[in-house]
Order: sequence, then C-alpha cells, then structure tokens
Amino acid sequence: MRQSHFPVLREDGATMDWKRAHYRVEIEVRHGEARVRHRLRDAAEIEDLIAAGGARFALEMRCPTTQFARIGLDAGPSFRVVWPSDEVGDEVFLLPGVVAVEDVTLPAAALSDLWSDSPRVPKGWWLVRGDVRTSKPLAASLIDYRRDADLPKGCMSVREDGSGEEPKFAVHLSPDVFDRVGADRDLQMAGLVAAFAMLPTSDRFREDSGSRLAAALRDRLADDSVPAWDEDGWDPARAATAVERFHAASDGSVEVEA
Amino acid sequence: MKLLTPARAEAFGAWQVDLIWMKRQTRTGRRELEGKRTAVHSRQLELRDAVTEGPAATARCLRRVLALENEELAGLPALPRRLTSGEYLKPPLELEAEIGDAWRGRPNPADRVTPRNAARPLFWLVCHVGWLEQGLLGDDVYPALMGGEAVAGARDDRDRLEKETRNFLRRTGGLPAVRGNVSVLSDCPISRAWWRRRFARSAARHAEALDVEAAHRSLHRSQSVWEELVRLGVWRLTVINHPRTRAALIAALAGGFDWRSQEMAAAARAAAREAIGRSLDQVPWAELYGLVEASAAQVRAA
Repeated sequence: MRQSHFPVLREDGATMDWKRAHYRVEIEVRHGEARVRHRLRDAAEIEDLIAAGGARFALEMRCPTTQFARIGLDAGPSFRVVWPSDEVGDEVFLLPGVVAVEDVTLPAAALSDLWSDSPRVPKGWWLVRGDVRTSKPLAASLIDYRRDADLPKGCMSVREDGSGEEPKFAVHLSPDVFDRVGADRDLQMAGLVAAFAMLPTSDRFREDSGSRLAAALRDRLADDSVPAWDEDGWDPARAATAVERFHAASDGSVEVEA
Repeated sequence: MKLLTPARAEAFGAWQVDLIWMKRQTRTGRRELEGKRTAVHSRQLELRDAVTEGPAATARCLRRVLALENEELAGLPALPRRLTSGEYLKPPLELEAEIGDAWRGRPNPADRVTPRNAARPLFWLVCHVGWLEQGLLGDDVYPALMGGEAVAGARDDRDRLEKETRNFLRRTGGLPAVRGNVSVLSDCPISRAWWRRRFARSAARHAEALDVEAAHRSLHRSQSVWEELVRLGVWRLTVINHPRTRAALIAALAGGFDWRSQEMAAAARAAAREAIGRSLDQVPWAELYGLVEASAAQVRAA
C-alpha cells in the first residue's frame, strides 16, 4: 500500500516529526508582489536537501475568485514572487513552505522517535509548511466606505469601527458622494487620508495593541521612511499616500506563469 | 479600469441587494418591514418596466442607477453578432468558442477581458449595457434577461417579480449576495462561456493529449458538472485551481463516460486530499490523471 504520510515541519509546531528543527517565514505583500523570507533553524538536513537540488523553498498563491493557483520555487530562502495582476482579484492567499522536487531521503537521526527508519519521500511532498497568509491590500483592510443617508449632501465623516477582530475605520458618505466614490479615485483618497488622520486617536493602533494590521501599517510607513502616527513629523496625508498613491503604480514583471 | 474599484463594486453590491427581497430582512419590525418590501417592490417594478419596454430602456435604466458615463463603456468587448434569446441563454459550443477566443486576441491589452474583470459581476453588467445599446440582444429582451420556467411557476405577482429580478441579476453578471462568488462563473451565460473557453485552453496546454475543442465540449456538456467544478474551486477545494490539477479533471471528464456532478466532486476531492501533503504540480501526469479518473469511476460504480 502506498504511504500517505511523511514527516513535515510546520511553522505552528503542530506536528512532532522533527526533533529540533524550527521554521518561520516572513512575507511582505505590496503592489501585487510578495517578498518571502524563509527561516530554517536547526534544520541542516532540510538545508542540505535544498543545496543538493532535491528540495526547493516554495510559495504557493491561490485566488479563488479568479480560480487562480500557482507555485513559485527557489533555491534561496529569500525571493520575490510577482503575480499577474490581471489574473487575480483583490485577495490572494499565500502558502509558504519547502517542497521536495525529487525523491529524497530524510535521515531518521533528525526525526523524532515516531520515525524509526529514514523515510524515502517522493517528489512533490511538502517537507515544510507555513501558515496561510493573505494579500489583502492595507488600504482595503483599513477602511470601508458606507452610504449614510443622515449626512447632508456632499458630506463625509469618519468613525472608528470596533466591531471586527482588527481595527478599521468606516468612511461615511452622503448618498450623492457614495454613488460617485466608486468611479472617483480622488474621493477614495480623501476617505483614506481622513481615516489616517484618525490613527493617533485610536487605542487599537497603539504599538502594544497586538493588531497585525497596525504592525503591517507601521512597517509599510517605515519602508518609505514616513513617520508613523505616534512619531514626530506625523503627516496623515503623506502616510496615506505612501500606502496608496493617487495614481496606481504598475505591477512590474511577472514571475509566475500566467 | 476605474469602473471596477472596490468602492464602485461595493456600491454595485448595495444596488443589487436593494433590488431583491432577502429572507433575513424579516427580523425587522412589521411596519418597517412592509415599508422596505414596498420600496423593493417599486424598484423591481421599475426594472421590469424597463426590460419589458425594450433594450434601449433597459440600458437607460442601468446607466442611470449605476451612474455610468460614456467613457466607462468604451473598449468593452462586443458580442460577435446579434443573439436570439435562446442563443443568449444557452450559447452553443461554437458561439462560446467565438466569444472566448475573440476577446482574448484584442489588439489593445487594455481592452482584453481578463480573469480579474471576468470574475466581477459589475464588469458583465456594464458589458450588457453596451450590448443592449447596440441591439445585440434583440428587440425583445425580456425572455433572455428575466423570463424562464421559475417565473412561469410563480405563486403570485410579487413572487414573479422577485424571480424575474433575480434572473436578471444572475444573467447579467451574477448575484453574489445570494450565490456567492460562484454566481458570476455559472449564472451569467456570457461570462460562463468566456470562463469555459479559458479553462479549455488552459487544460489543453497542461494535459497530455487533450485538445481545446474536446476540453471545451466536455465542459459545455453539463451545466451541473460545470457548476460543481467552479463551486469547488471557489469555495471548498481551491487547490484544484492549479492548472495541471484542473487539466487532469477536465481530461478525465473529456475522456470518460458522461460525468454527473457527483463524479466531478469525487474526482476533485481526491485531488484535494492528495494535495494536503503534496504539491500536485510535482506529481507525474499519469499519476495525477489516474487518481482523479479512478475516483470518478468509483462513484459511478457504487
């Protein structure tokens, strides 16, 4: 009977197949690309397999709304994956790990006692798996536009929306403005700038809040050397336009097959 | 395309939801409920009046409610010719091929239909506005856009209006509020045609010994099998969207007996089960094909 289970090293530590090995991965998503940094620790056996060409670092991308799925492989732990912007929707799910690209043998000495022999792992098996990430743009995670019939014509108002797991701002628009916001990027940007102006007032965006969105936003601003909302020189308009430009930037080259 | 910004899509979704009577609205108090229902009813009547009047009135109505501007309709794909309501509702294989191929090879990249656009109901609705204005859906658009068996069997006028409205929204691009993201892939006949041809081309590229026409024919044969394939790809088993995996499913569909949705579901589940531990991109073709084919055959034999 064909074997259906082989050792796997998981980022969340959910399996106990390996004695000492650990895996962490950092994925930064921006402008239709992901920069991935895989980190293996005490996992010389896996690193050796990769160096010998038997395995590859991997990042799998899936966008269910456009029925898109691809995998990017690389011999190095840090690489960039650009997906074809026309082929995916607003949200891409990212699944990192290490894949065997040849039949390989894992040394039993590095594995837990669950494995008495050195298993021969067929080509294609995931040797390492990370947690799933999502590529939803920061701006879309930060704000929602809402039609507000109580607002006078031509008006906008921004309120923090504390209903979700992650902090968010609701940009309320009078019906006449709401009907135009979809086609008018300047109006969208006005909403975004207004939401950014609220950041210093929110407890949920404090450095110790534990919010992943807040941390991602802070990282993004740091990348562009733009002060965050609790730093000197805070400028909500500059920060908003660091995250989302008035004119969308082009996506660059395509590295996964369209 | 600036038309397809998230905020625009949100406004469009709100317009769709305002047009249909959702059962969950019954949580509201009775008086408020009746007021809401009356408002929905009057919006539905307005839409039906426009559709009954003809293509120009329908297009005018949509332009107004969506605040569409001329520039937003420029560069949208045209239908290859004027369609009868029968052709629109169930495009023959040749017409589907024509739609899928013509829109792919448009000289201006900005004018090409892309998966990103084609997965959005609003894109197809705007296309419909253009086709209505060009007279490509005929002079009497009611049978194509609103009519059908469900409408004929309606309990009363209110029920009939609801069914007509839902038919309209589904056929012109999909109704995600009710049917989720699968609606655009399965409910709008023209979108469905485009996606089927795309899947067929991709399957022929990634499968061994499968041509585009055979792949397309197999996808065109059964609406329920098509719906199962895209439903699983959107909701449950997203791993089947890998081109080789989907090609294996389509090749097995094309190569075997007449699959029902059960066979498609079993084959897709078998692939997804395998993908829990393996990257199917690395699995040899014969093994991948054998896996999905055997699972479908097992269901058939049971």
